Amino acid sequence: MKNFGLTANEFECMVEDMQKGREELFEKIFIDHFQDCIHYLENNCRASPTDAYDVSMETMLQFRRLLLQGKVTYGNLRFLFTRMAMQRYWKWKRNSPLTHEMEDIEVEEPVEIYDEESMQLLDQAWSQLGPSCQHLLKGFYYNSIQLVELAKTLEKSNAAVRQEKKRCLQKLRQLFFENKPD
Amino acid sequence: MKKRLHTEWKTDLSEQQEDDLIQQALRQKMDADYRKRWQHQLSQRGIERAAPARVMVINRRRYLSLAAAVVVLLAAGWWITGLFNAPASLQLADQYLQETGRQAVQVSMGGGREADVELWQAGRDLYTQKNYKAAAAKIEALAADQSLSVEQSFLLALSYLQDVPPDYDLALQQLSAAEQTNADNGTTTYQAEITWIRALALCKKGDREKAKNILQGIVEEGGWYAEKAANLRQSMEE
Repeated sequence: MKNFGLTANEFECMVEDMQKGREELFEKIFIDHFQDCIHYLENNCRASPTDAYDVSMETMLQFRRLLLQGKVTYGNLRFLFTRMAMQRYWKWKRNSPLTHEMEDIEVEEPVEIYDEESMQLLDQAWSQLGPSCQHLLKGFYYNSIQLVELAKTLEKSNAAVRQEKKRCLQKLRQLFFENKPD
Repeated sequence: MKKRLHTEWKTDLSEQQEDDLIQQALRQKMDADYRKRWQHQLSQRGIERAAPARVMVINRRRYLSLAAAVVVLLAAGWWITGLFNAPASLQLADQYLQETGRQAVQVSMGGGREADVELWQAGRDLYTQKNYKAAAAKIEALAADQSLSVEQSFLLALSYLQDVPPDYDLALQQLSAAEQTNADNGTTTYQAEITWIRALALCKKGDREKAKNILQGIVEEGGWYAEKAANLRQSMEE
């Protein structure tokens, strides 16, 4: 079960699906694995249940991003996920022994830059945005998929997608400031 | 001090500056959305974020009495194990079985269908109280009219194993049933635990060769039970 029961081909399909916004298989596999990861952190790092839960959650977020960026290759996904979780836990506890460091993957810190009001306004503006704009902006900004790749999946020209992204961002900005109370 | 997006998102930003700003803002928003979404999915499976543990303050006198109690318990344990002179591998298998069995209910286990929530909860409560016979009876009752979930089969296997006397065959049967349910549903729930408990059950049953083969597989896979599996395998050789 090194690769959560996925064959190399199924793994490729799962990543392709994720890039198209279909994440059901990814979620099913990793939600299934979540409790195992909690167990592992509790047993091997003596993490508290709450810490183990939080670390597993943040690891799942980063793992998802790495999959979309093509930085995770098929081989031993389970081991990689667990090592990432363990590294995150040790880093978080500020006593990371060198043996837990992974050379090629750095633990990302959660982003908490903007205040609650900003996030509420952004949520509201986002919900008013059309699905095609949501797909495009999420793909480019959040999933870090290049516009060239997005153009391929959307079956549009690069120029058209670049223009569309600009228009969607303007729309998001307009909605954001429209919702802002004076 | 957190930033305010409406003061940062100015009209005179360059394209790159605006891209960087939106990337950060959307990352914060969508990470929060995913956390919420996955928390909900986990919650539906009975996996909840536990409340932070209370810090236990132990004063010196209480600490000393606690330490004395531990020493007495260890001495009693040593005397009892000496008395029965059980082979090291069986003692280790027992210890690991109890550890895994405890963890199985410490974490919230999902898998109950709505109609049977009460029965399932009762089974789990009885298991937590170490009333394994009654716990098994409750979970068996669930199986009367429908197939069990992986979690239910797994807890039933643990109940059979920790009952006095243990029923190894029934436990192994339930572990196979849990594996079959995973295969049918295309899931891998508790797969590592199922394999590990099977090895412990076979070891305790005296089926040493089969147990050693499974333990070897666990060691080679390098998973979470690899170290314990190696210890147990070594103790079986001694």
